[in-house]
Amino acid sequence: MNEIPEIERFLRMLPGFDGLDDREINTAARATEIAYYREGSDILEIGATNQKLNIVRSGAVELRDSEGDLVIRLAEGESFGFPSVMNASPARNHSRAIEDTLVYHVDGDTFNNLRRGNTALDTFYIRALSDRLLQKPAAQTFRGAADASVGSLIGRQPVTIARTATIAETAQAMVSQRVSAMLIVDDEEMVGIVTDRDIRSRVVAANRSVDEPVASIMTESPITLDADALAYSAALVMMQNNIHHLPITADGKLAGMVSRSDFMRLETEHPLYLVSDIAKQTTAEGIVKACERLPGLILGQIESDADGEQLGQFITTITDTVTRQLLRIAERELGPAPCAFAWIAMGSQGRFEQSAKSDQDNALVFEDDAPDGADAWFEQAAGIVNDGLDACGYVYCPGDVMASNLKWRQPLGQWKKYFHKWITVPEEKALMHANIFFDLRCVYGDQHLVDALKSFIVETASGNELFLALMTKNAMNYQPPLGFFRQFVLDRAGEHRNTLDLKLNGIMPIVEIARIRSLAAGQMRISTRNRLKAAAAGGELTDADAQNLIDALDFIEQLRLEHQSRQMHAGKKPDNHLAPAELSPLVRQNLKAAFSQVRVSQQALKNRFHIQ
Amino acid sequence: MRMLGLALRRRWLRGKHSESPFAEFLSAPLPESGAPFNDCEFVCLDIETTGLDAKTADLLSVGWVVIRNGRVDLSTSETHLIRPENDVGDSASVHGLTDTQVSRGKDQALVFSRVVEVLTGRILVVHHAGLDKALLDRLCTARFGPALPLPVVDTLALELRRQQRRHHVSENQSLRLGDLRERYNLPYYQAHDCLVDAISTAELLIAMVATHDGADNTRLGQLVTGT
Repeated sequence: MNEIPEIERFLRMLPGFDGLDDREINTAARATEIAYYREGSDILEIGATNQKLNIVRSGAVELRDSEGDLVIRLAEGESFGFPSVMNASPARNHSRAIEDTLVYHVDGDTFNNLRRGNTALDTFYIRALSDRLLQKPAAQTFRGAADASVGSLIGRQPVTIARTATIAETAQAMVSQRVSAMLIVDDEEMVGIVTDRDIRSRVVAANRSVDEPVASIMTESPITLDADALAYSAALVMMQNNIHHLPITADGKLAGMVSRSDFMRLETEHPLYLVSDIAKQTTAEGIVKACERLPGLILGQIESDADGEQLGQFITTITDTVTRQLLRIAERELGPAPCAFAWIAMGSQGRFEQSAKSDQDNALVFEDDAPDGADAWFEQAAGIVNDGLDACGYVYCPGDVMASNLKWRQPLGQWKKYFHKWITVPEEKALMHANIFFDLRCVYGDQHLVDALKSFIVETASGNELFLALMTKNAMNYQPPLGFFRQFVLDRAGEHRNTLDLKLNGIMPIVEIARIRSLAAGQMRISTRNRLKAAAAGGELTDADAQNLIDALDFIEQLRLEHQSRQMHAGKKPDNHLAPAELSPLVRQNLKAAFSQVRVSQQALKNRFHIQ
Repeated sequence: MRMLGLALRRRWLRGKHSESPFAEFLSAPLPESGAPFNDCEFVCLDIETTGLDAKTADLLSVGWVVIRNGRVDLSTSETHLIRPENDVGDSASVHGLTDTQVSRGKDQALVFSRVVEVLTGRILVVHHAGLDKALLDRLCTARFGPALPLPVVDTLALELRRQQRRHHVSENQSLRLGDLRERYNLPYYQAHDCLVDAISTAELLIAMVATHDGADNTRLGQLVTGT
């Protein structure tokens, strides 16, 4: 063994390589070629064959995707090109030296052999790979309007005027330039914005002299957005801040301005349009019709970079909107409700985690001193909402957890009794039934009723170890499908033979862990990711465990999205059943890693509550 | 011109040495002066010796690595410790080698034969080639008769020549390997054994080539500083 001192010292310090023994490090060093790239020179083009693990020894490298968007910047000790070596696929990104850079090119076969023999190295790169893949999903065949960059909406050069101009001069310039807003500059730099509305409210209505400098009425340092940002985020920024004009910068310089009306040029196939469209409907039929666009929108979202978390929020927002609008229709048809009430979303809708295939879980709570016969109103209203949701594609809950079921349409006091019983005299069966009730969220009506119920739950549950232990035992009904040899154990019978259920075996266990851990930490957070973070903040989980579970959830959800997108493309109904045979060996390996994480966390939870 | 003279000398010597690794060395074709950088193979080599006088010093250790396709190929790297004829003397404190370590070394003639083998068809690269080349020449003369006839790229001489051409020579600008590496944005290496220095030199050469004309526009003739 001929040592190669400095090279080996460097490799040994790299994360992932730090667990290799001297011989393995020497093998890696001997399989290395060193190349020098001048600042600005290309290393790998997209689509190039790459058979090396590339490590930045000194200098810096950046990766850009096929759109030219920056994927990541890499510094000393960081690697690139491993996805193509691990997947035996061409380079996905364009790599370029952004400083004078020395790169170690480690032979890919040697690297793969070393991974096979060393779990630490393997795990590190599998993780790195899923990180890299999740940063930019590979499938980008379809790009909806939501994907247009805000820069593409800019129609003309920015229209500006110096800050020393008077209000009158500014207004005249706006008229002659036919713009509804003017950017105010000092030298080249933008210092403010003045709109039609400002002239109306801050000058005319305020009786201010038009000879004053425009700087006196401008909005200083307005919110800006980079030209590379998605048009979608520009729309969000404008809505959130209630502004109609947004200056756009490129490379830190003013590049133009977009206004709300510019978005009319975007296709109407945009999630935000569906929300406002549903909110305009006055009949259940109208809502059902609007919802026909939902599958296409979901597909567009999946394929334009949305991750599982964003998609869950998107679908849930639509469901919430549909629910609210149906309740408004009910109020119009039936007259006002007899007393205060709240419509409760539960399960995945409650957690903001709905997928393309979700059924409805909901309930209704009303105030305790309701007038006699009040329930007749609630029963009819619940019927309208449940039927409407079903017609929109949110099928009836198979377990009948819906507000149309009298049992789940009760006054606050009765709800407290339910929870009190579940928590203080828990029975396993009842609990299995009840756990989605812990994911409750007010969608419509009197928020106070739901808040009161939630604080009651937290007070009763958080200190109750027996209850939490039983929840834990229950949660073990969902197991990640890893057999003794870490091979997948698949559904052995039925329609979904040789597939695994990503929801039951992957997502649900994480949802359960998060629910129990956050309750134990005395937190009634709603979404699984927030629950994990809250549990970590409350000391119920380490930060690393919480993050690992979130990563695993991200990965499994991403896989489910891609799977459902393929099904929807093929004209099939989306489901959760994935055939591992369809997966590349690498994705399979990542999925195993994610499942292993879930299992480790389940074990830790069992230990926490002393369950065998 | 340098390369042409070299070719003639090698052809003449070939007649006299028909066997031994040296014969093979002489008959292997060398790339022409107009050959692109990436088509040539270079042996970047560093030697540690028992002294600073090429007439009396012995090899203590030698390390090298090959550049091919414009990349430093570490699979070709080798280091050899040599058993000296005399004791290690003062240089031990320089190189951190002890008599015991060195006594485990190999026979000098054997290692030299390996050096000749590796240099076959390739160009020698040394930083500050003077002493190292003189020593190799002496060993070659002792073993086969003539001095070692091959093109040499001296990275120090190359940098000096470049600076002179651009009238950039400055008295206080060090041309030491470590300082030059820093100027070409290459990493700092702590260790100083002959293999590390050989790799350091190799990296410096590819950095110089990339920086000045680029590998695609660099011909072998532009790099050769001696024979």
